[in-house]
Amino acid sequence: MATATATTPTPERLPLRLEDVPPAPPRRPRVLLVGTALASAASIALFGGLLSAYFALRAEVIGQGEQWLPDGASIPLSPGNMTMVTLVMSLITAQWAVHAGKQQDRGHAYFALGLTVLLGIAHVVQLGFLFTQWELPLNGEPTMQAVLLFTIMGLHVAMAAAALIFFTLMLLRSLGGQFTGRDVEGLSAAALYWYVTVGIFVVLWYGILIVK
Amino acid sequence: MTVTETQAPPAATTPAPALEPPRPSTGLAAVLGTGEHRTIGRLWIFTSFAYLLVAGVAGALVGVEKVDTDGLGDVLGADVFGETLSLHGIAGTFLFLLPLFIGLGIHVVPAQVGAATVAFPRATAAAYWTYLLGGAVLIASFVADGGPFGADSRFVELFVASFIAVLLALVLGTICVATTAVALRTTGMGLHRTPLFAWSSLVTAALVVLQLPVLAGLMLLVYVDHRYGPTFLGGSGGVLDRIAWAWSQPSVYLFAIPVLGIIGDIVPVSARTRLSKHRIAQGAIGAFGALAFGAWAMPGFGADGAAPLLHVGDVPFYAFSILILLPALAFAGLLGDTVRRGSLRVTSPLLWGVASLLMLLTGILNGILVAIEPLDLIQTTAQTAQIHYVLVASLLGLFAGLAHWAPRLLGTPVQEVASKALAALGLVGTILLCLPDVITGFLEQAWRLQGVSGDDVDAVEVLNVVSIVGGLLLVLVAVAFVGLVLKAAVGRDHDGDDPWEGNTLEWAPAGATPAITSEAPVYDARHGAGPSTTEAK
Repeated sequence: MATATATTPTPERLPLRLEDVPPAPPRRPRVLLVGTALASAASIALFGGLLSAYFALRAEVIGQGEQWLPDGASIPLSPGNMTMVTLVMSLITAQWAVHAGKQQDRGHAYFALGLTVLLGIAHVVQLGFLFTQWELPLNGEPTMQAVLLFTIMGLHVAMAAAALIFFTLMLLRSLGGQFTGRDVEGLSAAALYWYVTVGIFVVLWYGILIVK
Repeated sequence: MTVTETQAPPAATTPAPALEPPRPSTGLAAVLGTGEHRTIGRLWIFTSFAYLLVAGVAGALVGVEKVDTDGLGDVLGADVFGETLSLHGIAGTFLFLLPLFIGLGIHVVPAQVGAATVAFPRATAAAYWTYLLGGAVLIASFVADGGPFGADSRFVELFVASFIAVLLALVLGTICVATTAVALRTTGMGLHRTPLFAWSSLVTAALVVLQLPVLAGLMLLVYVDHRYGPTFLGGSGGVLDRIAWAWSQPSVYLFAIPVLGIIGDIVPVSARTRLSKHRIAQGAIGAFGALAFGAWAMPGFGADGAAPLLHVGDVPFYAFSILILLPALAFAGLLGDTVRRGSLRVTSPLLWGVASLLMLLTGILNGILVAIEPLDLIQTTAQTAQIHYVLVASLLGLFAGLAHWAPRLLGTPVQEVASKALAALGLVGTILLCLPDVITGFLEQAWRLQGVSGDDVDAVEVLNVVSIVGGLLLVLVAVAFVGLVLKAAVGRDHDGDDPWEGNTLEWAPAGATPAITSEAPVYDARHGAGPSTTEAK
């Protein structure tokens, strides 16, 4: 006697309906990107406050009928313009790195990240050269203008250095396989902070180096 | 024919060798190397208590100087008075109030939004150690004759550098809290469903992120000017003018934003119902925060390092000072409606919260008086009173939060009867501290060392004594409450029970994760129903 212990009905193939599709898993929280956005806002506020002080004091001096830059001081245009061009190029390479990361194109991502870091270092070096051309001594007989210019531009060097460290860290983590085409949050966060760094420099370049 | 289904026996699996879990650190090592958000939150809180003591002692010394208006500066000397006054303000706000809020936020906000931990726990710990060391160096620089009005330029610069470090730590800490509220909310908890403390933490963080870096930038300028420059910002004597705007109107209201969230979480629990119009309450807190942004109202840059108050008499100054009353009143109205609909039980967090809200509203009214230019109350003790009203209201509100969340923070509630008595005494102390200063402001007593002229000297001196008594009472209340908290904390290292029957996610029983269908998921779960939409919206 044959004993039936279990029967398995043949599954019927039904057309897939939209309402039967399980919901997508919740998106991975973009913690690093949110934190970076907040840090970027803080950086903008930091430079906003300093630039407000700079323009207020500049208006005070000019309002008294004096010229803003003291005699003998000069802010040459070329180094500032060159570093501006360098930073614009770095914007393209930063976005290239993020795009390549999304496309799983690791070779191009590493290359673009490396280029961005290189251009960032070039920016820091060029600003250092610019400082030597100002003829605005901070030691000896310092002036209000020297204090303001060195504080604001020097702080931007520090910000650019922090952004470069962030980028390098993300490059290393990408090399370690932490960021993939499905998750380029770290690269996007580093790129965001770099864009803000460049954006702030655009304001400094025009407001301080061009307008003088 | 029937088909017999046979199943292959499960393949024998070789058990993976058991990995021995790393032994957790204990003792001091566990504290120093911790990335656990509850421990870090407690560290922020307990350290802020130590700095509160410094602020209280400095405030008492400043008060003693005002007893005899003829001999202002006789007790401490003009420069030491200025240093002590600066220490009182800086320690009270940047070393106590904001860090206490951050500590509460680090501990409570992740639990409120259903996150396992705070965002960037290592950064949170780094911010704490920077705050601890920066604050200690800042106080040491005052002791070594540095700080605003200090005579030793090396320690003035050390003060500025350490203050910048403290500000950066505060910004980093609030970024961690805000990121938790934005990015780590559990499924179903939209921003519109975040509990009010988490929401107010987000609003406070937005203000901190936009305002404290401005102050840090100014301090950097002061540092470079003092160390290398021609001291065009007034040297050590000009430092306080570059800081004081941060606790003057309208920036002072920044410190009160988290208090609205705390009270907004306490009142519905005490009333055993859900909050009326949660989204409107969120909007009121947001509007309060927007009107508390005050970096625009800092002093200008005059010749010879002067710091003229450019905003006095300006329309925005009037507008901000008056308009901020509206969201505060709307919020108080929502709380009143919640109490009316519910079944109120008087708890100590409720008493602290009510005292805080009353003093905050009084402070806002005081601020409106100060803003009215013809009354000429700017830089009189009436302005000091307004600052004290708001800051002490923030202190009372944060104490309300500590009393409310003590079972979660410390493992056991603070002693309820004593806490209620201290809340009542705190209210009395605040009124005694501030109200005489409002009156002496109308009698033209200046807020620093200029004294008072005319026939009102005796009346002013009597009122000053009353104010000092109020201040001392507040110091005693604060010390006693800290004692209650420490007593509750001793020997406890776990989440305690829920004595209040709380509404929000941090009160969910261990292991239970109620569905988030409203801003009060635990209340919904307890009452076995989804949100009453008419009440929740």
